[in-house]
Amino acid sequence: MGRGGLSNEEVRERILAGRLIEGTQHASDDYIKALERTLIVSADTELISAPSYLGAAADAPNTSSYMSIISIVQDEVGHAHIAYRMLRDLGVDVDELVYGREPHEFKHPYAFDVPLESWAEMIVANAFYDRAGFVLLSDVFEHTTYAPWKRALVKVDREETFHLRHGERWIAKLANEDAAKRRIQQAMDWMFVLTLEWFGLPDHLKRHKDQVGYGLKGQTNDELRQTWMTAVVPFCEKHGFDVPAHYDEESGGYVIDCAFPMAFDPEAKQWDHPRGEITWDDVMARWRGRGPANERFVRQLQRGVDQLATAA
Amino acid sequence: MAAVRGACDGSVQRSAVWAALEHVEDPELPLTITDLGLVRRLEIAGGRVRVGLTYTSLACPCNEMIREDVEAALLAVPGVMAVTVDEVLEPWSREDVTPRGRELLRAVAVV
Repeated sequence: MGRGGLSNEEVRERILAGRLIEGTQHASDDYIKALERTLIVSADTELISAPSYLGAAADAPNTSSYMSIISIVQDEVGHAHIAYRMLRDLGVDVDELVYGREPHEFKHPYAFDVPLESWAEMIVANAFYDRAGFVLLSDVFEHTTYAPWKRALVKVDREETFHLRHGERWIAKLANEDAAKRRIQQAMDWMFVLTLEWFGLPDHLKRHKDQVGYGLKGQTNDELRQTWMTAVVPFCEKHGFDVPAHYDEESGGYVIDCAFPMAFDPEAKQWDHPRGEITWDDVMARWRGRGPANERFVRQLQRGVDQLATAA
Repeated sequence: MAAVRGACDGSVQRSAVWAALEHVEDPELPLTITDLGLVRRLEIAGGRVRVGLTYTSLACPCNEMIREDVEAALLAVPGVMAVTVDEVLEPWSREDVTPRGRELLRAVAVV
């Protein structure tokens, strides 16, 4: 016997009637499973961005921007807290989720396993990664059938706007300085394609269709990728940066100008352009293996609990 | 340091300056800095405007952003030639938020 109070059919009827799901009593087991999967990805992503950004705060060029990054880290932990809290309400053992899992079992996008090692990379992360988060969560806010999440996202949305604006403002400011501009371009060169990957498998290869089917999100992976490029590409072009995508008048959308997906060397932070397009199976194998900072970031989050357990 | 722009004929309306400030939004909350109660001083001398701002916390993560937004908004007011933003570091509390601001904050469940 599962946790859901309704059958799949009843859930679909409820959603079609335009009624939201308030809790397990309005949901089916499959709906709950799909919701949990979605919430875990969201929670893990917010949480892991904390150690990632915290490390890069050390590269802040003044105390004011140091304060901004520390505040952004606090926001991200708050957003993670919201998603984990909803998982707890669904009956998930959240302590086990955060402190019991192995680093490779976390579900955040691979991009966060590649450490940010300069101010240029930090502000591009704000502009690219926080924009990705904003695109994904705005879609959830607009379309989700799960009422508690919709309510919680009002404040999250606003805070993410501050994060990506922080990045865009710094990029605009440094775009006029040659050396800084080169470093930002180098960061964009590896981070742009990594963020394109973030949105996941192209629609024709996607296995789980429950997220759209149950109204947990509205746009498909490819549509979300388009929404992200619609914001990011014109911004980069406006400030004189090259990114491998352009607007195509004919199709009315953005077209990626490099091989995609591509092989990536996370240590060198370089894409293997000469090798060209690889398969999504290759990409998933890289994702499953996780990236260079995965172990360090997760252990950093788990360290306090481990220390107390050892002391006892 | 003052943000400076071209020439000026010296006639700047206080009401025009205030109206411009009323359009500067807080970067994290959906209300303006005037509704939030951040503007504490406003001096106008010829084309030079001096604004005193406080922030909701001493470690306000947005103070640079707000300062730049204020400078940009005021430099767009006809006649304004230079803008100086001072951090006055006066205490701020929710009592400083205008009634309209409080309504807006209630809508996003902040107060």
